[in-house]
Amino acid sequence: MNIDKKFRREAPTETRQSLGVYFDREDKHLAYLDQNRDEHVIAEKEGTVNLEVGTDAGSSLVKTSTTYNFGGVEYDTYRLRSWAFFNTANTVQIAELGYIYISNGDMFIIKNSSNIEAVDFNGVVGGYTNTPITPGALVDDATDVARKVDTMYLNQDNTVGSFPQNYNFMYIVGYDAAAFECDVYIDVEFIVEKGETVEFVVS
Amino acid sequence: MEERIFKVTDQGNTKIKPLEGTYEIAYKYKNEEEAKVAEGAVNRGEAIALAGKFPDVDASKEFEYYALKVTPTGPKGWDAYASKTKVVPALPPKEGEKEEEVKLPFKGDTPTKEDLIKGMKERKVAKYDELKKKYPTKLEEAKS
Repeated sequence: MNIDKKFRREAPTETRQSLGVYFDREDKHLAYLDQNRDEHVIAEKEGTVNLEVGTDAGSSLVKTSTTYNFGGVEYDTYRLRSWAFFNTANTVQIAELGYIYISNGDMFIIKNSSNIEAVDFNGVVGGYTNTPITPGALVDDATDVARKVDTMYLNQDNTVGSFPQNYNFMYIVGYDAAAFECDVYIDVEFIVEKGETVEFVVS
Repeated sequence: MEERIFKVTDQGNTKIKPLEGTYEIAYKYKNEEEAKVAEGAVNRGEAIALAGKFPDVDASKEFEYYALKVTPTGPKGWDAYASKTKVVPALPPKEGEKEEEVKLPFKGDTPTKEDLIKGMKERKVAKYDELKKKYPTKLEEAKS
């Protein structure tokens, strides 16, 4: 992993939705450039986010202080972050992140600030690209020219094997007709009914 | 128009949204055998029927009970919940009355962490294999 690349200060302004991760070396905060708010947002007041390294990615789940009340039903909010690096070009890229257990009820992802970073050294603009994780996101290959991928998304699957629906298995999935590579930074928030137990096990 | 006639939940009363399967409705009248009066598909955790109504009851007979049978079939080999038949000794609910539901039991024991991790990896391989059929590696890519 190229640390300088991951922690560079500048984020691109290619799209309004673009969001780049950077590391503030002065106050040691992991932070984001949020194009929609046009300001730097400190994501973790408490400082370090420990991403537990798993098979395909490093991940962290924290409970946030935000609660929602919708029609009298209260919800707790959790934040999942994962970093995965698809460094070997392939037409299909899948990373297992881990599973999220909800003691009762569903989990609903209500915010997705995930980013895909790709190399564009030989492209018209040069440098790196940063685009939201979505069909048509920019990825790269051996040409070092960023291009659009067919599809890339965060896959939440609670229909695995013979496990009940309480277990939500989280994957990053991407596919394209031509082999591609990229780095993926997952940052999502989800809600569960207030008071339910939530467990995250990194795979 | 097809609408929900009853919902299918887990033991915690959460609708099993991914569930696919079939259902049957049977009526039992006094001095008669139980007889199937409707059947259909379970989709997104809901039993679907025309207009979302239970079949009419024969008012000339003495009604004993109705039975709702749900048989899960997936999706994609998902095999977490057992079939169940719920027998209700009352007339089927009419429009506007409390909605009926069937709570399916979980088939297995509480899974271990090892089971879950193994299951996650197996599903990853299955997803990869399925996608690879649609997006095969090109020959020139395989050589590089």
